[in-house]
Amino acid sequence: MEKPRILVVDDDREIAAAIEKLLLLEDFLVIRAYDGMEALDLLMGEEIHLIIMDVMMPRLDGLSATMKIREERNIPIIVLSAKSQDSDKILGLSMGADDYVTKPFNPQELVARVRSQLRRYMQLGDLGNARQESGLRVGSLYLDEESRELLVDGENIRLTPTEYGIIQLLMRNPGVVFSAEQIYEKVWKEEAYSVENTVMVHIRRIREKIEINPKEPKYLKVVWGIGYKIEKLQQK
Amino acid sequence: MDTRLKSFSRSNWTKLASFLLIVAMVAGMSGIFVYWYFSGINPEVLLTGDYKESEAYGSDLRSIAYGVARILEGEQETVPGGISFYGKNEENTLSWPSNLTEKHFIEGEGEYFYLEEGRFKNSETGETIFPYGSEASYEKAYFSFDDGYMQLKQKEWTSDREVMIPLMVWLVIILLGLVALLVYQFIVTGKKAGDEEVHTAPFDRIYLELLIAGLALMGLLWFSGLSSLLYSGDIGFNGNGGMSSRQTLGIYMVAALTAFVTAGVGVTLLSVARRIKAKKIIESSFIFGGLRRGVQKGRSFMDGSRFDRASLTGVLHQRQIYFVAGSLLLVLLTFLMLIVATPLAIIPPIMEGFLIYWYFKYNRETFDEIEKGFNESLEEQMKSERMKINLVTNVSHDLKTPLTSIISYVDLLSREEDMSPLARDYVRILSEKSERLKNIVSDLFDLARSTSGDIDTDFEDLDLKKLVEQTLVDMEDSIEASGFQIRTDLPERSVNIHSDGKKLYRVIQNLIDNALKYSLKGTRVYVELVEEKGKAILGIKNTAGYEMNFSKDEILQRFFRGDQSRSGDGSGLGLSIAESFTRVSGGEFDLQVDGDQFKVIVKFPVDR
Repeated sequence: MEKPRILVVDDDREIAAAIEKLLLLEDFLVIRAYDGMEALDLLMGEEIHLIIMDVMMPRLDGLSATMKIREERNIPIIVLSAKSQDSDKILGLSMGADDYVTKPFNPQELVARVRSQLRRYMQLGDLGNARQESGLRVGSLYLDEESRELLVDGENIRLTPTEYGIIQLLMRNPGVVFSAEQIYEKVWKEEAYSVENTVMVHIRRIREKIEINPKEPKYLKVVWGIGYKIEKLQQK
Repeated sequence: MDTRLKSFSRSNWTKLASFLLIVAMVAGMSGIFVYWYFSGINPEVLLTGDYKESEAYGSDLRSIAYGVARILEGEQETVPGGISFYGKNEENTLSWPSNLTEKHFIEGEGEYFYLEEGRFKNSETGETIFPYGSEASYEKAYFSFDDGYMQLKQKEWTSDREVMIPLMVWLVIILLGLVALLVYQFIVTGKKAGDEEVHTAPFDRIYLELLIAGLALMGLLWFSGLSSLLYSGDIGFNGNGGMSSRQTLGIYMVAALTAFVTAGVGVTLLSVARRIKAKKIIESSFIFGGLRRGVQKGRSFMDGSRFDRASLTGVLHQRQIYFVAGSLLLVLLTFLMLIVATPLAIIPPIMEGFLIYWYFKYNRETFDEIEKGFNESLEEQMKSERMKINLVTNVSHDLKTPLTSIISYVDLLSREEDMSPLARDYVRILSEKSERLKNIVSDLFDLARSTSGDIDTDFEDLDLKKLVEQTLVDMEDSIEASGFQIRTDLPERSVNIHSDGKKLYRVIQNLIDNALKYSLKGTRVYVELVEEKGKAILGIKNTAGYEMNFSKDEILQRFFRGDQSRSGDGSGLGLSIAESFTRVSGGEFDLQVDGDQFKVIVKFPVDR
């Protein structure tokens, strides 16, 4: 199989170079650009499988470039930004980014996110849209209810029956917050009494299995003081 | 030349000398006048040297004629000295000396006076000198002065004239000098050699009315002095044709008194002159200047210019006091008027109307000013707040960008295979420290944003008990790693509050982290949640592993660390962030230090 080609866009040349080396070590092909305009130009001539895009750049900033690319292309875009507020993340994702990584980032985590995005894109690709899926899909998560399998970026994740029950309940209702009691009654099918700890422990375990960075989960989220939910992600 | 003249004419010594000279001159003049007064000389001697030409002679003549008429009518018996007369009617003739006849007068060479149509007439000019009266019973009457008498009179006249003329000459000389000196004084007063400004003396600030009163007082003093010193009984020369010692003393006394009064009047008038020159004559008057200042003062109470140095609210307050006091006064005045002069009672209400008008007018101005100042300060504050937030954002970016490079390259370095064990150890340390730096920077900006208020908040109805449980499970790994046990005391039922769950998670996480980091080995951390008086009270309590010799305020300061050593992996901002996040999430944050017991209390209002 052809090596995936990744476009790294950052006006800070040292950071761009570091990301390039990091990705080269992981056996990717890397092309560098130093602003949004350059990225758009490169995208016209080269075949690119993923873009890592800084936000604050001269000429054309990362978010505007992302929006322009999204008008025509469906390639995964990971936005890199020094802005770490929730509102910044939401803005980035709503502009069409597939993932949002804050600077300074953990290099291993960035690589993992790149892999995750690539797996999904290569598997499904632009062609993948045509394939019919019978299971539940939320972003890179795919739950095949017939075979009782959870795929993350196409990789099979081993779950206990309880964990499966929880993820099934949440994935059937993406964006809906369930309290520990509700989850317990629906999954354990027993009356709930002081079950917060029990449920929370399971949630933690599932998060460790499906999230790249369990401390900053992308899919399975704790709604503090209320309950738990699977994030409802934009379907592309 | 000009300057030298000015420096001479305007020198204080010249002024003083000329002033003293003026005083001396006036005193001298007064002495001359008193001398003349005591001499009793008729000033007419100055006008004519011939006694017969003088008005004094005419007056003598009339009194003699009157005397003759009275003798002829039998009303007077003594004959005035120095005359001869003759009178004849149908019954008898009367004459002095007794043997005198009509011929003595008609055929005599000298001038005589005769009776015609009831009038005494001059024999040479025919002029009437005295109306004898229509009831005269004498047909003919004559009288004349004796030659000796006339010669004596003329001699007296001449000698008086000889006394008076030198006096008058002196008087004129002194007067001319005085006028010159006075003109000089009034020109140079207030001027100094150096410039052309008018300089007023401290004395010139005394009210003009006081000066006038002073002048009046001095005038009174002078007149009363004169009236007691110039005793009319002393008039006349003594036997030697000179002044008696009493008279001489009188002259000196009057001169001294006059000198004194002149000095006082002179100083006063010079002051008035300076005021006029400096155009301050009106201000220096109590009535006019004082009135004007009074009006200005009254006005300044109202328009606030009097309180320029006071705060605007102070102006409002003061004006209010004056308004109330003024109104009260006017009310009292109204009652007074009603009793004393009823029609005038309309005046105070009208004045009150003006007062109210002024009060509102100037209050409005002050309010406008306050509003202006308030808006300005608000804008200023917002501007500085915006600048602070911009600064935080920019510094954040500027710190995070190089940090990203550091972390990335340290990671790349750690993948190099041909490294000595020592170098690998160094890279490990670099990696750890850059990770810690990342946490500090992140905490720092969380804190900066939450204290400046530029932080997203997401308020929801949530269960604090659930949140505590979730956080504890979430932190299970670090709790286990620390070796400490957490004892919880949570209520049975849910504790519903309205807050930002994510922020509260950070708060509790930081507090537990803090407790785990600084607790004494073998002790436990207590987490308790109670609902009391509508408040959810979360307490996190631990026993410190070091002596807590610091105050409550100190520990909440940024970067304060209880153990003073700056090792470890915390940013030192944990408690500060917990405090700030509690506040932005709508809670209260408090901490207690009791011996080695350290307790943080977080309170939220409970939702019903």
